[in-house]
Amino acid sequence: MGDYALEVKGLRKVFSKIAVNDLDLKVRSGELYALLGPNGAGKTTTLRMAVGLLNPDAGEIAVCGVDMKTDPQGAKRLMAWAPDEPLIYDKLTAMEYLEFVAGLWTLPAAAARAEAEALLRGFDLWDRRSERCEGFSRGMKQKVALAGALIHDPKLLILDEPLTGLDAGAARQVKDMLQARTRRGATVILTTHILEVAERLADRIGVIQAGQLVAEGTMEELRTQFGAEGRTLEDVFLRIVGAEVA
Amino acid sequence: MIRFPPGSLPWLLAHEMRLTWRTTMGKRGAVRTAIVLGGLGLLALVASAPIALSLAHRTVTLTPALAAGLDVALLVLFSLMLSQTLAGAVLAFYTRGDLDLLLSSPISARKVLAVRAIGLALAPFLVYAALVTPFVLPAAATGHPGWLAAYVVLAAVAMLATAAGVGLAIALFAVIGPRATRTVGQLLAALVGASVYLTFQARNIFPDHGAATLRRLVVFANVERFGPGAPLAWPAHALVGEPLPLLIVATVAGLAFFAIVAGLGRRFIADAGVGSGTDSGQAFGRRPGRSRSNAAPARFASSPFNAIVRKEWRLLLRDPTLLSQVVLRLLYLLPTGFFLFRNVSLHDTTAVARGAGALTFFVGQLAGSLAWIAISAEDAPELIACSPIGPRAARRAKLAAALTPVAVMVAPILVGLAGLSPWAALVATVSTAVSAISAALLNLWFEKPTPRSAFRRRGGSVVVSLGELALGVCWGLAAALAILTPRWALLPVLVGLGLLGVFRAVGDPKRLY
Repeated sequence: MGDYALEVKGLRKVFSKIAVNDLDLKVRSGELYALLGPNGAGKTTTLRMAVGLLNPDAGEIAVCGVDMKTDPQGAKRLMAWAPDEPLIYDKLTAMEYLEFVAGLWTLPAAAARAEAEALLRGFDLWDRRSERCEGFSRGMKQKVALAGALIHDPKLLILDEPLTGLDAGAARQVKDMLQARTRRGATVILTTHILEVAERLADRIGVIQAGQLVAEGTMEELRTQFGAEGRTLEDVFLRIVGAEVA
Repeated sequence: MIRFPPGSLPWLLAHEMRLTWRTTMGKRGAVRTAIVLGGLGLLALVASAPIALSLAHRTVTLTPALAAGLDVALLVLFSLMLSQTLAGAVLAFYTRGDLDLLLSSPISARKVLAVRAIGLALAPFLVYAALVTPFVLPAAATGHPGWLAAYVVLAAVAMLATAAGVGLAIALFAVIGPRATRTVGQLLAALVGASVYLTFQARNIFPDHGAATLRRLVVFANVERFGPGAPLAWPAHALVGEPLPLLIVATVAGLAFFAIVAGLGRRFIADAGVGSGTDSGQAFGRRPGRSRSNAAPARFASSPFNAIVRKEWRLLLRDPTLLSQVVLRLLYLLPTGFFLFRNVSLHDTTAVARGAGALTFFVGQLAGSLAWIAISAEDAPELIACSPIGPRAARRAKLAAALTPVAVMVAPILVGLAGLSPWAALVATVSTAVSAISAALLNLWFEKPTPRSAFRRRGGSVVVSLGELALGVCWGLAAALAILTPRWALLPVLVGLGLLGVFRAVGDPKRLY
């Protein structure tokens, strides 16, 4: 169990129709895992259940071996969630926002202060740390939210479309940061529609369709599995989801 | 349907009206709303018919005193409208809405401001026109057709209030800058609105009950100043339909309105561009690294509870709309405080009881407002939901954030009261605490998550508003009775507890964390 940062068994969620259907998923500690799928495949629903925002109708979720059902607080302490819409407060400054998030995760003040400074510097926001987020661009807000997600040095970082709204420079910063985190032993799970990003960054890729995991493996494994040697992830993905263009 | 030439003033106005109508209607049907409004109007007409009939064919003589009284009424109306138009004008600076589209089109900035200004004037005009209609229409039908001029005067006052509101907002923008204008403008609007109440409460503030001021006013309103033909009496004479004063009042208001629109159109739009384009320090010329809070070292909280409390306080203080609401409620508390202490010194137990009751009621209202914002206005519920702090602990912290300022505000009054009457102070302490906590609980049981940006006004749940009112009355009554005849205090306490039980049972919080 300890080998997996996230372990999901028989996960099921039904809204008006089945969103997630008996999904099994195992993400190893220290890997960067890209969860792909067409619109409405159940990616976000799966991740929202994994971070405790949605209660599953059935199934089990464990974060670094901590069961989400029996010890949600313990599981949440280990991870961070950054959705595509930044979770920030417009009326707080970037630094105040990080103070707040550090408080939620009960970080010691000195460590939190140092980490906040490092993150803001890393994201080129240090000079604007005392400005309210309401004046920030979409990309800057995204970076502030990401800094908030990283401030408690989570073992598992779950990101839903982290590159949405970012310019090329900011996107590069985020990608570098994600790789640096995984090198330090953290696990990153992300969803993205930019398949080149997944192809370049991910150690393993999972493809979800109609609420089920329909393919999983490294890029090479997927190519072999679906007879697409030498092809791009886009080609492989379209073949998997059955939307291949002739 | 009449079609105006595209790009013309009436065309743009019709467009705005249609948007306003659809926003006002929301998802409700127009027919249903029309039926409800029509029914209410009919009811008001029937209810006011006796007054109108009693005035039928009776000659109303406009004495100088009556003219002065009507002028005062119009002044009160002006201040109420100014409060509305100033708040609206300030808001217009910061609400982008469709301004980008309008300003990037070939329509002139002046025309855009004209339409916005007409919209600002129309809102208070329609409200007060609706209020006077049940009296004016029957009176006009029963021998006083001149009273229809009230609509013209109302429109004139609305135009003057709009001109003053827009002018004031632009002046504030120029003098104190865009960031401060947002807060100061909202506060000023609240103060102007409260000034009417405070004026009427003057007798509680002044040591002689305001008698000297009243005498001075009566002397001022003598025959020369308010007699027929005196300029000060023109508004009053216009109100009863005298043609020349009516023409003068309407012309003056129209000129003021059009002077503002024509003279400040470009400036207004430029200010609105700065105000709503971005609210960051960067946009207003603050250089990175030189902002005001740079000097203050970061203060990291020691616990999630402290982090949430601090966050809530920061957001409360940075919300100009809310700040103005709190200041308003404090202003409304002010005369109560005077009332309480002035009478305590005279050992008037009844007055002390009334004051303690009123204080209890107002504290409940204030606590309700703050609790509603703290609990329901959460911009990042998912952040709290996926943090290790449990939902109960998060809500406890939010309640503490809402109730602590109330306690701080009320404490000095209670301490002062303790020095004069320990029993009354004890009762008021308990009753204000119960009132504040029950109002907060009510907001917890009817939690309705909404982004803070959507909190334009203290709307919220009707059930909660009514509940706060009912509970405030119960606890206020209990406090008053506990000071006068303690055994009777049990009755409102039981009713209050019963109500709390009902609200707890029917409460249906929509929780995102």
